[in-house]
Amino acid sequence: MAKVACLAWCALALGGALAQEPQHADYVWRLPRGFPTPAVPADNPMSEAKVALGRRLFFERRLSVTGRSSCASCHDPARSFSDGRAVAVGATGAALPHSAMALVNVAYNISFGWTRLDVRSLEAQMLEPLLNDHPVELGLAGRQQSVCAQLAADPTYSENFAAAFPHAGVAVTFEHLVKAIAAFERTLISGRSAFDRYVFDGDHAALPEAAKRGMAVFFSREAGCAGCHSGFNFAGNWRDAQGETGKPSFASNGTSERAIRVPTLRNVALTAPYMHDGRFPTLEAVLDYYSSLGEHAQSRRGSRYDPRLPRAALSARQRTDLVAFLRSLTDEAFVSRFAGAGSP
Amino acid sequence: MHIRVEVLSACMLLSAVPAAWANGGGAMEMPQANSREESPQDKAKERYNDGVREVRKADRFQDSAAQLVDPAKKERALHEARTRYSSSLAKFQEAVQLDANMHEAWNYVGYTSRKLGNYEAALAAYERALALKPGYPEALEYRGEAFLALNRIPDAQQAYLDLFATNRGLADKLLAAIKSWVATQRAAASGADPATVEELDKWVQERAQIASQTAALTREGSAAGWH
Repeated sequence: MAKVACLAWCALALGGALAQEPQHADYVWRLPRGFPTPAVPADNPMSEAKVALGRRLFFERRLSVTGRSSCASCHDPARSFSDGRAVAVGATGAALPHSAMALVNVAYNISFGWTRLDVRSLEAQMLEPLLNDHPVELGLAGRQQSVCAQLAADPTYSENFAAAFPHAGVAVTFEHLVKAIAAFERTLISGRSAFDRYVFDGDHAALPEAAKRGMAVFFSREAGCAGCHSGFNFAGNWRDAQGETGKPSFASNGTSERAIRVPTLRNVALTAPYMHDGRFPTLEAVLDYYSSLGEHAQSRRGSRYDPRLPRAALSARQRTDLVAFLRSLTDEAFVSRFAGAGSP
Repeated sequence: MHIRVEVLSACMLLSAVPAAWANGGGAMEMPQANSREESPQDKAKERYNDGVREVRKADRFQDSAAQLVDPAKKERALHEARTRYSSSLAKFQEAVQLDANMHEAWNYVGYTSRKLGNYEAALAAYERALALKPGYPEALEYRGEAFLALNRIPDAQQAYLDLFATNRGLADKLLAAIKSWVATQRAAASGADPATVEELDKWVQERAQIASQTAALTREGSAAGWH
């Protein structure tokens, strides 16, 4: 109950404080070809200064109860901002119910989290890892003011906050901290993979033949992969500056009693283990599972399984080709962009 | 009288011809009469709207010419199309003289110039339109077709890729034009270098396959429309 009240207070505080913030219409997105302009909340406009502050805060270990964890502890840039664990582990060592979602292209999400439909902004989502106490993630509930005081006492942070929130009376606040990190996360845009060079740049040699065959399988109705992993982000419906393309994309694939979010497949080769609970260690294991679903497609009819799942088993060759295609979605430049940004 | 009947029959034929009109934009809304003194921008819109009406008629004659078998009738329809492209070009030129920032009118200056065979003038007009509205898809598509007419194949391919990322419909239209260029070059006795033509044909086929496979990446093709 206390947690609910705290979250509600924070949400109200965020909503109220941001109404006075001026728009920064001059922010220039550096988007890959074929990517739409992300939606940005009217009360948290983008600015270079805010993104730079958010980037620093993202790697800041003082944002945890132990002083040893940061956002990057569960969202490691080298793993496309996931953590390589089956389920995430909080600052105090508590296991979380799900794996850490990769934050790549998170700016385009309609809702956030593996199972929640009601969390509709990065700012709102961030309150969970920062403040949750059952289980503890970063464990800042009740410590917001002391954390802000620590940051305000740091001359560089004080300067960074002032630059990011130039019109605020008090720049170093918890709301501003959340907004800056959200602004930084909106810039985690990845779309310069071999697949993108092939499709959008017209470099027809960018994909090996196996990946091209895998691409044909991926987009076929038989395999059904693109039924859920559609859109430029391979994550189903999205939100951009034009609006939302539909409802948040969830699917029932038999790994949970409830529908689970369709995650992006961009940089998927970097985000093992797979599924919301990390049950599959490799892409091959994931495809084996989907192939088995295809093999039993007839018996699935009318069940709780998503009708978009494979309609037939995948051959060994198809699975190999699909893995080659999925590996072609890795954007090396995106990963190297954050090399040395701060160890998680 | 005889010519008028031929023109009329060409117009009637057109009703059965699939529309292949200019995609530069439709007529613009005008301010209410007597509401205030007409500004140069208002006058420019009037000229632009006159030009749009005229260019659509020109497109109809050109399309009907493509359907006619009789050489004399075909020539008359083409003549009528050229006449109307000329008069519409004049309207669009007036429009941009009145309002040099009207990117739609610059785009149509390009379109009508291209239809009249003045490709360099067309390219210059498209550049103006794109300078005023960067990424303007209609101008990108028209410019791609002008590149084709000038045998500037790499430029036409780049125009296609630019459109592919932003407007699949117009990208498809340009790809069809490139495909048509390949067919024309193959049929011509002294067309482009055969190796270039064959290489481009292979490129067209691969792009068509990519476009078909990746329809699910677009806004329209996202999960909402899959079932």
